[in-house]
Amino acid sequence: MAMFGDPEDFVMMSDREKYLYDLQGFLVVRNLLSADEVRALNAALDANPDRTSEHGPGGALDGTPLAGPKTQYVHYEGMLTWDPPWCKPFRDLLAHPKLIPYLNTMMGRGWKLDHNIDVLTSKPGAQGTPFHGNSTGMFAGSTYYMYDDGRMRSGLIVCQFYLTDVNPGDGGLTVVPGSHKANLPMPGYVRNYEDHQEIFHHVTVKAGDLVIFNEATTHGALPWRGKGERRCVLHRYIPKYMHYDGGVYETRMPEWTNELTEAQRAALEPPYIYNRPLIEDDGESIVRPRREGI
Amino acid sequence: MSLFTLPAPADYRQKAKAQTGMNPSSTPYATMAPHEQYLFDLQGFIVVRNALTPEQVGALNAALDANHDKRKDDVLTQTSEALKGKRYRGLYNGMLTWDRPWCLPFRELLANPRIVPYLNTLLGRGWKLDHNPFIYTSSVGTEGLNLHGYGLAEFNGSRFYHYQNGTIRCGLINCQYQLNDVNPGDGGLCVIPGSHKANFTLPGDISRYEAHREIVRHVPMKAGDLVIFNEATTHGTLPWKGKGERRSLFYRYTPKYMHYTGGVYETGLPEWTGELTDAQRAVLEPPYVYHRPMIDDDGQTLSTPRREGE
Repeated sequence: MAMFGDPEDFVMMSDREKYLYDLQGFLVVRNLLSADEVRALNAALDANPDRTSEHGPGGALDGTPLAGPKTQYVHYEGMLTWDPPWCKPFRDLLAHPKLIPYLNTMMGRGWKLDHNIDVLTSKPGAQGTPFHGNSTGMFAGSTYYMYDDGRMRSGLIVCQFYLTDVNPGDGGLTVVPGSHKANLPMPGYVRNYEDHQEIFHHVTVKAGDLVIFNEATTHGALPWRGKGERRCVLHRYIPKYMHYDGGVYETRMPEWTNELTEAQRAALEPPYIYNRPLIEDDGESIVRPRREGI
Repeated sequence: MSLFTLPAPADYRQKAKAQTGMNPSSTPYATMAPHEQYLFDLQGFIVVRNALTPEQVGALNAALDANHDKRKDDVLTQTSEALKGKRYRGLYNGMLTWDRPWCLPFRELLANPRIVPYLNTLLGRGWKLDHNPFIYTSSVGTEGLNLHGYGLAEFNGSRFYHYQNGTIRCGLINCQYQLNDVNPGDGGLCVIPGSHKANFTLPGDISRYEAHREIVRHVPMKAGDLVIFNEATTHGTLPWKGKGERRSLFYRYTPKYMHYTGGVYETGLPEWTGELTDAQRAVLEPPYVYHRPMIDDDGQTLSTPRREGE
């Protein structure tokens, strides 16, 4: 159905891919990156060991199936502004032509990067990541999946470009297929993989593969047991009218807004979620919880 | 700091627990009363009587009277033959930065305590202004505006209504304060109740007010009343036939993670992004809808339609 002269006659996912993503809330795209692209990205990481750190001690998840002796992830940061040539392979992923059909289909054109790009690495012994997603049983306008009359729309989505293989039994990204459409709150046992493990799906990939999942899809990671290092570049994208966190663009409030009350200024702030000033019932005082509501 | 005396707390200030789950809040906050939630869920709009005090209405009207030179014709409307008139609506904007004291009554409304329970309920806390505030004025013979707002025919992440397990959530909403009375038969805002949940596309003849006028409801109000409607609710404007001047003041709000257009905050891209391709820079732009650069299939060229496929 076309609205506002919107034929959606641009490049889209195939019908098979739409079926699989609609059904499961995630999609594996094989060989999205060429061997040369994977090589360049790995070389950039290898050349910048000072932009990362070592695992810390685990323990936070002891007593659960997600326990491990090391922390879950080690990140790399700031890749888009690394010295040339190391920034280039990351910049090339921003609007990667092979990614466009997926983002067009899931969000409509005009999609934008959200958060900052990330590189997740895990070494053997890394603990898992508790499962999360849109788990409240209430509609979240920033993280959702909707479908009407042949058109799907997603809020925040996650793209994981894999730079190393993930084999069966290795651990890492695991999802609950179909959970992007769940109507009820996530049961507590799902969070730490403690019951009904048959509903989980471990995602195995080869270097160069891409996994796209909806942030509403319940997802987490099993402890890393692979022989080598897990490495993936993580981009988050969001529709053109939304902003969740981080990002590259800069914002500033004009000087005249200093004449306003805190609450009045809060109503004029740009869109974001974490630690946003929330206006109390008196219309004057504000609070800044890390995150509230959806 | 407040210029005006607020209305006394009334039964609309019902306290309710914030949502639980992954994003818990231990602090209850003001929400709409259950009967108000019923009416908004049912109809896609709600009238809030006496949202402004007479003093606030007086101050806002005085500010408008003192800035009559800022009036412009609103010529960017789509008006069918059935809604035609002899003249354009008047449009005022920029009120937040008018000279003192005229800006003050408009600034007071940004976080008007009277609307906090409504925005909390419809958008969740952290709601923000979207667009810029503006005023429409009409005198006898002023044209109307076609009905628009498209329900749920296709889910639109910026303009939607959704209800699940006790929680209402909306995209862009409109708050329209009346600064003069709007009597039955005067014209002005009209809506199609229930259309925020419509599953089929708005027929063109209904949009043009040429058919099924019985489903379109005019909304009479007194000066100081507020009507809140979901942008997905089909709404338009009937030609103005009132004796007095229509003066409607609009504030639009979106959830904390959304930006549609306009607004007060300023944005820019850091200098290093000048090294990127146009397409790569487009991906890093802030959120907005109109004329946004969209990446064509080759991953390099851009097109900038006014609006496409939200």
